[in-house]
Amino acid sequence: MSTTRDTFGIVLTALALIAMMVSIYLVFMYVPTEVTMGEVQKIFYFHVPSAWLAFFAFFLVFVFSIIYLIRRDKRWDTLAASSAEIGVLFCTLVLVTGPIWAKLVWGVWWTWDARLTLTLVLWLIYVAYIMLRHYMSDPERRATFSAVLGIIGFIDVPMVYFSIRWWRTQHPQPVVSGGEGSGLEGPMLMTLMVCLSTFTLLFFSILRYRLRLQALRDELDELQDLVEHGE
Amino acid sequence: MWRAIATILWKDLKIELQTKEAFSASFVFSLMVLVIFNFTLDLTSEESVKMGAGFLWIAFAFGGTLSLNRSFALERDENCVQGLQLAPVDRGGIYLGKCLANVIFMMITQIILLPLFAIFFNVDISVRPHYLLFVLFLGSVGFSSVGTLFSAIAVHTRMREVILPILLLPITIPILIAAVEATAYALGADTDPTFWFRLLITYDVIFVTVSFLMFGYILQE
Amino acid sequence: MTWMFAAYAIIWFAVFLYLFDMGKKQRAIAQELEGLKAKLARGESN
Repeated sequence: MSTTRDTFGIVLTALALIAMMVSIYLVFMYVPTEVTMGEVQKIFYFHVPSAWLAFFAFFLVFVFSIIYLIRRDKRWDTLAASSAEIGVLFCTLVLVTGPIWAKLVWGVWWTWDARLTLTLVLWLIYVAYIMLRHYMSDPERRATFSAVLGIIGFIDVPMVYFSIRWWRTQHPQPVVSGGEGSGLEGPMLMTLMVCLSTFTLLFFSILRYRLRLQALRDELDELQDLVEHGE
Repeated sequence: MWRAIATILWKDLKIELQTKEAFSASFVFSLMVLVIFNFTLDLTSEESVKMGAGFLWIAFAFGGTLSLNRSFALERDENCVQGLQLAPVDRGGIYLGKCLANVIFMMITQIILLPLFAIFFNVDISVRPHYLLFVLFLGSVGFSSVGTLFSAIAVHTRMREVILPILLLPITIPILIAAVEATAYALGADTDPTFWFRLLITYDVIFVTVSFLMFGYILQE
Repeated sequence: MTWMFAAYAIIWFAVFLYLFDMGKKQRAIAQELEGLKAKLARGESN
């Protein structure tokens, strides 16, 4: 499979590239600058889609983990692990762009508000997922245990969110005004949607590369086995 | 299955009664955490009440991690894991037995630590004692539910003791927050704890169930 | 703003070029692997 040209993958990546160019154009040349926050607000168009995609990726980990436990087909485990890696990537982007925006707009690096904290906790959970995989060598066991962790991690998410949110009402932090989604319409909404599509394409494009890489690794392992036990 | 639970529970309790390994380690460690807090923060007595709940649960969480580690480390060292896997016993029963044992261990540590906490930080722990015990119980159940499962996972990895806190602490954030807030109420704070108790119970029910279901996958082949 | 657009466009273009390049390399490695496998199989049947 990996020796033939991956037309679908190439087209997907090309689409993602075009979409990215369109998005950047929209963000910098088309969309009007927000009145209260200024130019910096535009980080929002990359920050929010990254966050949505990070959550989507972890949802995928949840689904793929369940399917793996039911069907025991290695490919679902690969999908789960790859989604987790890319999810952590996007999650990191959120955690980097978030504070930059916060500092420039509100003057504080971090606010312990529900969403940002949830993202941090999510990051921790899925980094733990990756670390667990790293510390296990037996492929089947690793797949099974990761699947269990993937399921538990995702079930935990709503509870983390609600506990943090309620905790915030008991312990008010510096109030930052102007929620992101407040009154979004017209060109801003459109730009956001385009950026969201772009990041989605980017996600699946990277996922495909990652899957092919795994297929290569597996073939290599097979080959090594052949060499070691073929004589 | 009830026989399995009882057997495992009894076995773990007996081992612990004889060796007192995990208990002493986790108790001393929790105590150290409390003492160190005193040195790092210079608290007035009012602050102690507010922050006391937080210290307690940090101490409990770290001590709990230690005792959870041991719960399967012992099996691993004596090659008992295969014994457990081969035994024609309901996996869920093994899980519940171990989980219950861990809850009991955690609670013993907590109950002994409480008077010391009251002394060191000049906090009155007798304000709402029944609530306090209830919170300790719910918190320990929540912590041990996922902790027992993860401890079984950790035992099969290359870096057992290290991986358990990395896995456990992020997942137990909701239970820790809820336990701290509910404990603050139990220690006399003037807040409304209904949400927290609900969260504690919800977390416990969900995660005991999920861990119960998932445990079979960990103890396979 | 045009500067920002240009900067971002160039950087992302480079990222995608890198992705495409990786794809090509992956295909080359896969082909090599196939060749090796075939050699091994032939070697065994001798």
